[in-house]
Amino acid sequence: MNPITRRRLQHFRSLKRGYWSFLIFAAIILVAALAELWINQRAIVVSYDGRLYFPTYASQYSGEEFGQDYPYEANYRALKEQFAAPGNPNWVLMPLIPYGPDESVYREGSFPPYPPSARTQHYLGTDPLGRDVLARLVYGFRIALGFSLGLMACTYLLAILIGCAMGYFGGWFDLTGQRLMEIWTNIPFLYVVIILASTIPPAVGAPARIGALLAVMVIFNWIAMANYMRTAAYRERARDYIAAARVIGAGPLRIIFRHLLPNTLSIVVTFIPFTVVAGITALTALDFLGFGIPPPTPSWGELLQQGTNRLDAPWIVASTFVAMVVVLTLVTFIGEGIREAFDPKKFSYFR
Amino acid sequence: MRSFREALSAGTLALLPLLLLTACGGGGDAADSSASAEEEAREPATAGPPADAADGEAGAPVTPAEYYAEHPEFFREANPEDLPADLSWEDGMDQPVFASPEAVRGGTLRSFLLNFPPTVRLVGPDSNHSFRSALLDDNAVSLVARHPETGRFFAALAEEWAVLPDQQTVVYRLREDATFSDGEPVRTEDFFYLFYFMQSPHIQAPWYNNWYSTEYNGITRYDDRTFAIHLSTPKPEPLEFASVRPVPAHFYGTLQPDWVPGHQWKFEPTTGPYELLPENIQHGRSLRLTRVEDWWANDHKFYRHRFNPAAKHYAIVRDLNIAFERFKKGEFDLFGLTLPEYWYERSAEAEPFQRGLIRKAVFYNQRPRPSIGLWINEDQGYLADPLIRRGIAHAMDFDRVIEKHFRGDYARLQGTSDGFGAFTHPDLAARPFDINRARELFAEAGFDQPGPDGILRNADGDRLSFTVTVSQGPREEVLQILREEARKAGLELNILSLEPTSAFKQILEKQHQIAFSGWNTSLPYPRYWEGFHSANAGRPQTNNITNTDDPGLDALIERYRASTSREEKIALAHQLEERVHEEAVFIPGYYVPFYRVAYWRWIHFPEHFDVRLSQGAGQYGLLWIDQEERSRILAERRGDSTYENDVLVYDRYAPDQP
Repeated sequence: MNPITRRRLQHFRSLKRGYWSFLIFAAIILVAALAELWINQRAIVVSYDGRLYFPTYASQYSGEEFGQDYPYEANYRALKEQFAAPGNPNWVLMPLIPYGPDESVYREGSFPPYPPSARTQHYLGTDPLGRDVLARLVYGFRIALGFSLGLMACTYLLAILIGCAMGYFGGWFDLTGQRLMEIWTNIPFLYVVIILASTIPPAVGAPARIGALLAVMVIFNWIAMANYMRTAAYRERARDYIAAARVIGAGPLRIIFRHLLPNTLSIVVTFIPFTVVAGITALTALDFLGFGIPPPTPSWGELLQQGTNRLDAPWIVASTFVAMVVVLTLVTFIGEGIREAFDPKKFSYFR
Repeated sequence: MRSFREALSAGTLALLPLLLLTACGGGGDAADSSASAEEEAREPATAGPPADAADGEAGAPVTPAEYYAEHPEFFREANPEDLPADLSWEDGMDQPVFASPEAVRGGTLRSFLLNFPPTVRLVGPDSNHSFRSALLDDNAVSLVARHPETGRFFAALAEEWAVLPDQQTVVYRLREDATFSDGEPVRTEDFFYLFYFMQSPHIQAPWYNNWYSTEYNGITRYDDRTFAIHLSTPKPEPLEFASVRPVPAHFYGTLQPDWVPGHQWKFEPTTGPYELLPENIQHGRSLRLTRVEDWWANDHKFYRHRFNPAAKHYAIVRDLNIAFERFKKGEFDLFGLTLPEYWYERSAEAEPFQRGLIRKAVFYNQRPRPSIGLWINEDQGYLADPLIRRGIAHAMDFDRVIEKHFRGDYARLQGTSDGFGAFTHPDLAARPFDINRARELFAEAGFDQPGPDGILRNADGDRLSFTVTVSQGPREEVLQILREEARKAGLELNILSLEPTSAFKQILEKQHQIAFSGWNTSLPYPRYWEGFHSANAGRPQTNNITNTDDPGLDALIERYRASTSREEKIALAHQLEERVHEEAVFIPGYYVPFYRVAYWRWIHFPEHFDVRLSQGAGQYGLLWIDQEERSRILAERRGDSTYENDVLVYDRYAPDQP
């Protein structure tokens, strides 16, 4: 790690707000990544007839394997109750929250959405389909974050490549590139998403659909970043170190990636948190409108929509709202910290 | 009016789910999303070119007189002496009155719409919006009308009618006093004009163009008030098709190519009780229908004591939550409560409900039920196998949906033709949810190995997984419950939820694997040709969305269509229903056997509340407003007076089984 970066990171650590936000956010991600272990309808461990089973990440065990009379996946909550009978040597260890994100649980005599209750272990209540809100929030967060990170990586790759090339080569390449970008920005994004959603044949599975959505969002998101990269590259290529590199005989690709990019990296790093936030909000908005990830995949947008339709069940919209505010605030604080730490006016050098 | 209703629903029926919250009859159907979202039609959605009009020089205006002269075989002129001698005239006036004599006129009925209608034209582009029922279907009066209790016809605009023995010609004599809302009398010319109008390319309505050129064979004028409508084919109940509404010839005159844009906000003079005057259209904000002064039917046996409010005011409220809040404040008179959460929690907590200032009523109706359920496309891979289709039927836990999601209020649909009285198969039932039976059938079809995810596979390693296309909205939730339960039978359902127009397009182009959708059905009898005949299979834009293609079924359908005897038709309908059940291309879902409504105390209904065929409070114009009571209750609202607040249940027409 070069000394400048180290100094920048040190500086970031000294910015308490950003640094603590970063730690909390990292912890949230870690906890969410292991969601299957603490929010799941599948047991963590089942001891049955002297054998131990670990259903969390394994393939499904049918009810028959645990001596039940049904051929589909075992209902571990029911098993637990059954095994708890005195004298039964078997036992089940359930996760902290024994509900899956897609699982509708109905109670006798009343109808969802059920309010939060520690007794039923629905700590944030359920949605109108009887699904645990906390489970959907956590799994939905994981999906949105993963989607957002993927979106960011693809967008930046494209933006850096095109932006730097335009800035570095300039001339007609830059000119036509810019015109194309102007035309491109005028295509309405939402229409393309709607058209896409309706033209993919039904046989195509959910992963491919999410991939297509990601691709469309990348195609429409790279332009802003490419503009920044183009400007930065324009500025940098006039500097002496680029001229020196060229004199030594370095090719354009080497110059862009070895010399130009490291010196413009602070722009990229600064934008990352904000892009992640934008990705999460964009996906939430699309889900809210019904053009995002196909149901029943848990999603914040869907929760918000259910919540605003059911204001009589305020825990749905309140939980989602608080979760969104927390995540977006944390990421914004991190972003501010990074921006300050990587401020080129503070530490910069020419290579 | 039936043909209009069908045309209405078929033309661009995809729009209906979008505009699913109608305020038909003063918000009677509002919030009825899961029910009125099903308002889709049974008629083929196909729209062929107009047989007559399109081959003319489209674009050049033709006067009505020229048009009639060009098509003498359709527009026939005759003399009164040419009338067949032995006509048996009928008027249906022996049926019982269904409005309440206690009704009082006056007041304004206030309700809301979720969208401002895109136009107030009754036909042409964008005219198929939810508000059109208030402008046309529940307003305009046709030649004859169906009595909503007995189901038989009575004379409305016509004084009397006579059906000829050929079962395809009906002779009408118009009432002397029948007028349009602008005071002009209704005459035979207005029915000639109807066909000129509906066959014209200038109205830009291909479905109407087609319907009015192929379903009708012609019209004969005997005199100013006597004419005959000729249908193309004999029908067991020709009145259903031959009862048309007049189009005011004096209002439109010669149709011009700019007719569509020119009439965007012009309401045509109507034969019905309410008109929409230009000053009552507040763009984007509200619409107000006012009662026609000295309406011609005020003293008609079946129109007396109906359509009592002097005006109907519709405010635009784009959010149902807000509309409900405003209703609770007394800004609206009625609110549809068919959605369970409104009927239960949301109204239970509210003060005006608890104090009995707002009353809740549930009215069980009896009408053809929309065929909501899963429509399986036979042309998609493993779905061609009837064993798989039957297995899927056994894997769909609609009872859980009804029991848990709809709180046991809705009922299971048993076939494609529920609610048609004698035409409905008496004892055919939908396949019950039974995972063992489903697994047996899947195993018979080769899917017998559960994979690591619990989904069955066959010897080739293919998973038992299908995609269900659904419109965004309440049905998505239903599908998510079905999906969870289907997994128990080793079947995976992927949900493809599309914006309603796209979903409808995909389904009509037969690109779907399974569609969760419903067709609206209409009297007098169920239709099979549109949905199950091979002539409509494998072709886009027809209603055979299952691509059913079976010669045996075709033969039956053709006999059914050709039959003009009611008894034979009933027997054939039962056979057809059995065949459709056997094919298992349709998995019956649920239906709503009632409508539910909340209304402020000052609104009054007849003793029996509503009529058998009614779809929503206000549809038949039976309610009235007590204006004194209104000001009194509004004044009391701040106080603490209470009234009885029990739920009114009108179950005269409730289904027998629980």
